[in-house]
Amino acid sequence: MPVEHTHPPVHESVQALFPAMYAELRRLARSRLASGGRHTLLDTSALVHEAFLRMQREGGVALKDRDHFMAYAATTMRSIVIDFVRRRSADRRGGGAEHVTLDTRAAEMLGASDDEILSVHTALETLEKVDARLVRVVEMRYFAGLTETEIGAALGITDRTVRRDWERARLLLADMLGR
Amino acid sequence: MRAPTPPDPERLRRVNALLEEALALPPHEREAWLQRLHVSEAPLASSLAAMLARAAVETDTFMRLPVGWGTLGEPAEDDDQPGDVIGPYRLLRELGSGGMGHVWLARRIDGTPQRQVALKLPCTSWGAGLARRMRLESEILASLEHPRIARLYEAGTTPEGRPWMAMEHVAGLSIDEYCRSRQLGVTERVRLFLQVTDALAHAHARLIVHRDLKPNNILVTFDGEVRLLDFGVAKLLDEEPTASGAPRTNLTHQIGRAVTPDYASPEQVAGKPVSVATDVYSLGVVLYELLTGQRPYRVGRASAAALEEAILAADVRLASHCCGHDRALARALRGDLDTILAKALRKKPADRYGTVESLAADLQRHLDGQPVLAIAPSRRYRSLKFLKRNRWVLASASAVTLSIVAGLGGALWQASQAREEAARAEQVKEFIASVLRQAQPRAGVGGVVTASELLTSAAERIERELADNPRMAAELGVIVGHGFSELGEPNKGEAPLRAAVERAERSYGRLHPVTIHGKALLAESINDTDMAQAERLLNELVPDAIAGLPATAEDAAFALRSLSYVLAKRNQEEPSYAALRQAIELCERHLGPWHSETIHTIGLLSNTYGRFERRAEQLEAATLSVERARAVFAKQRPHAILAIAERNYGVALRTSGQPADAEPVLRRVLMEQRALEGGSSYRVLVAMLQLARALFDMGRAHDALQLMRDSVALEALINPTDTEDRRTFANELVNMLTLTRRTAEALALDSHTQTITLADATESESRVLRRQVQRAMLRAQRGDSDADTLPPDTFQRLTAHPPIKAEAGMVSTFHARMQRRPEDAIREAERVIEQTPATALRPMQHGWLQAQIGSAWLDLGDIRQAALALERSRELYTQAQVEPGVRMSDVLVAQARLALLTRKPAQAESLVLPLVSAWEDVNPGSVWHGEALLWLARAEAAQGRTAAAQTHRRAALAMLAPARLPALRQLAASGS
Repeated sequence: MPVEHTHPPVHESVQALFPAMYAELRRLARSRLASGGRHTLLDTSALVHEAFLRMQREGGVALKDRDHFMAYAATTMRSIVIDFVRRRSADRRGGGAEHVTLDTRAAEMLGASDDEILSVHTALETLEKVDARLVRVVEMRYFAGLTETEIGAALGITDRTVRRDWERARLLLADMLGR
Repeated sequence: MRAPTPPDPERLRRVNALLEEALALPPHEREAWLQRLHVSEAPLASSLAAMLARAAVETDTFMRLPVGWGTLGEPAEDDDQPGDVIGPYRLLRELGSGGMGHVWLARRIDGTPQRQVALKLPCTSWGAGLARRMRLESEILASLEHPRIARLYEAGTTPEGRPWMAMEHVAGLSIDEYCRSRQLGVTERVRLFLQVTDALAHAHARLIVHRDLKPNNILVTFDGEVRLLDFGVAKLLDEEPTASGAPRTNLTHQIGRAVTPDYASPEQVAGKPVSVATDVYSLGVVLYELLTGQRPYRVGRASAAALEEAILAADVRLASHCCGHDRALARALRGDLDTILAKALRKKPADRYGTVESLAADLQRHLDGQPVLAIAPSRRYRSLKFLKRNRWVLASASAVTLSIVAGLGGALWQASQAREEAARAEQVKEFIASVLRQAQPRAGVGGVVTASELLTSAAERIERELADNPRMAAELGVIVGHGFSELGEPNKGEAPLRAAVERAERSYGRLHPVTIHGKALLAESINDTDMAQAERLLNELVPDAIAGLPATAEDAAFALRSLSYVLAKRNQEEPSYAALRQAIELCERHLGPWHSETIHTIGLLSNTYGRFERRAEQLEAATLSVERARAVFAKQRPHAILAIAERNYGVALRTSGQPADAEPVLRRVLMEQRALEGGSSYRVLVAMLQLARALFDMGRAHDALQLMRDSVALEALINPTDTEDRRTFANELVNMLTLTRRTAEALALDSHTQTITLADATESESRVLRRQVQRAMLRAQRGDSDADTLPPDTFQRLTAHPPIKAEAGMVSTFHARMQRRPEDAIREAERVIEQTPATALRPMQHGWLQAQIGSAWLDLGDIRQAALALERSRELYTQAQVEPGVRMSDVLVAQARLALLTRKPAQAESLVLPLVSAWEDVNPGSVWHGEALLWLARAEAAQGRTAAAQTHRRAALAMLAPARLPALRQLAASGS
């Protein structure tokens, strides 16, 4: 299930296409991951952009809704990434364990990253109650890899504010996670 | 790693709001913002500090990249290929890559010069931040020129905006691989490591901290030459002030997580400020690994978080415990190297080696078989070390060398006698060796038997095991007594020395060197407890010792010094100089002018002059002593004799009115004394006292008071009994409290010590008088109307002590001014200035008197006269090397008043501002704080800053409310 969150008021048409977007993004992500090995790059930014282009081509979303789409896509991307990481962690503890001992160093690096992603995800749930906009910025930048300009356009704020929000969010998360 | 904060939305809301506020400020103002945080937010302060610190760290990796980039897999960028051209270079092959970029072997395409370089290219995903980093790195490298630091050839940017750096390509192995491949032994590894410290010291001298030291950044060429690489995250620790003129605060020195956590220091892991101690720590990890093959932490779970936790909290295992079954290696590491590593790897930066040079120096000492400094408190250790270094001497078993080997005795035996007494010498050797065996460390660095404990147990064993061998018991008893004397704890030697002297006199006779040496030591041991007996003993001993010259030269000098001390305590000024002069003459004739005894004795003469306030002679003798000591011992710092000579010199500088010159001398003395004897010895205590006095005379009242309080507490710890020292320390604290006008506290402490001082017949007259005058000053501060009346006989006695008489005049001056009798104050001050001989009135005191005159003229409304006196006062304070602060309180206030009267409110403000903050430190909330604050408020009001003026005025009046002094009450009345 996608992670449920409050968003700034958006165009109804975008809200309506949320299920379709989720399905599309998931499909794209799965196919990308299936084709690669352990070192697969999940280029979330490319996925989001590709999903938008596809859905636009298929008439599911209008070009003018691009900004809103991105904001929602980021939230969606977050839930997809979390699903992926959780499954991978489970793999590693279970059937994948043997695999890990072959290259402890790489496993360690990935493990730490998985930790980071999962703990950031959890901390965002607390942050959501305090400053929802910061959570949107984190989703777009960290989970969807969007640029500051894209984020600013999606949220209707300036690049400068995006930068400030991002920095503040990052510091708060670091504090919450004891990093 | 800090503990995660629990998910508390309310707390998070507040942190978020505060953080937003702080981030809106320019970085250099954030530290001050933190300081100003309201008390109610205090629990959040440490979190906020950590967050702001992290904000300043551009290399911080936390969440820096989106999830896909290097977190869910490897980044697909930076696909440079061999043959590609970057700037003027063609890539040949990749040498390595790290978190921040790649390094390629490359060659210039224009073919000139034909050298291969290491070309560093940043990951493109880092964007502008990394380009900035690389520019900084190239600037840093350009400022470093050292054969052991890889050189920067050139740096530039491609047309596409990709920065590059061409550096010296070092063909070699990382230091750990090098050691492994050459199978180097411990000593060779340490020597190799010293090349690293050498290179790093060069960087540190330029205020550059490397911050990412690890074996991969330390290459060794095939000729065995070390090259330090990768200053990619290096940091400039420059002290330049920020644009606002404020000094750089800690925040701007911050760096977050190191690129390589395995070698990171606790402060890097915690995101705290880095310093050279950060590199010392990382070097410690590198050395630890080089010597043991392991890292200092054994981390159960193989995760970054567990490692960080270990770095922050876990104890470092002793290196010698990490050698597995390699017994020889464990043996080589046990002791010095364990100690050195433990010191380099302390959690608190301040506990580590302060510089990489001091780490190197200790390693060098270890290689040379000298005692290392890292193990501070144990003197036992030094004798053990000495024993080891002189193992070959032990075998020769002559009695003379034995006494040295034990580190306890001086030239006690004559070489001629040793041969005849070879059998006994063997016994002595056996005994000393068995005592020392007892001192084997129980476990590594910990469990230490102090030298004092060792000597006490030796004394007991003499009585138990050697009672039927009086000659040997006598010799060993004297050695034990000598040991206590060397430790600066002579009184502990009294019992063993009594027994030894008695035995020696019986079996060797009165004139034997053992007897004489024992008696001299015995006299010293009872100097403070039974002066009369000590004096009797010395009067009898001196002729015996002189009769035995030249063999007894040192003992004769020693006895004369003790005698001089006793005479000085009896206020026998001239005889006490005479005894010392005789001792010096004797030393120069029989031991030579450069002998440590000679130098030491001259220093004592300086001390004795100081005791009787003969400043010129004091400085002259101290200068002579320190010049000789430096000439002989400068290369052996820290050296006991040199430290004492420098202390006497520092004291003489201070008492001659040059406290600012004295301060660095005394600070070093304190440092070296601690290095020599650990943190809590008598000489450390004296060094603290003298440094505190110098700081106080310079006007750094706050630092001085702190150090003085520390030394009083330490004195009580070291000295269980109430001796003259106890009073010296307490009196000094009372003095400082008086002069910083902490009247109530001074009176309380004073009434505690005063009774002892006055009742004690051995107290010097000058001391008793000074205490009375000081008490009068306290009463004047308190507002007692009869404060300036001293007992008639006291006044009589003052004529013999011009400096104290001047101080009494200062009390009258102050009292008159505070009681609003300005004419009397001026008359009294001028009388003191006129009648006191120039040598008895220190420039600081003269300056203070001129400040009183100036203030009184202001009270009388004579601006011209006031201005003259105040100008003179400032000149005198400058001459006395005093910094603006509470010591200059009266002149600063008066000058501010004058400035306000002449319509220069900005000047008034700048005069009184440092004073207000000084009072805040030293005596906050006092009437004097209120006085300064009220003038600040007036200066602000005169400049139209009404709001600030009102706040300050209100606070000032509250502080002035309890004032009893008429002058201050009038001020308060005029202010409300």
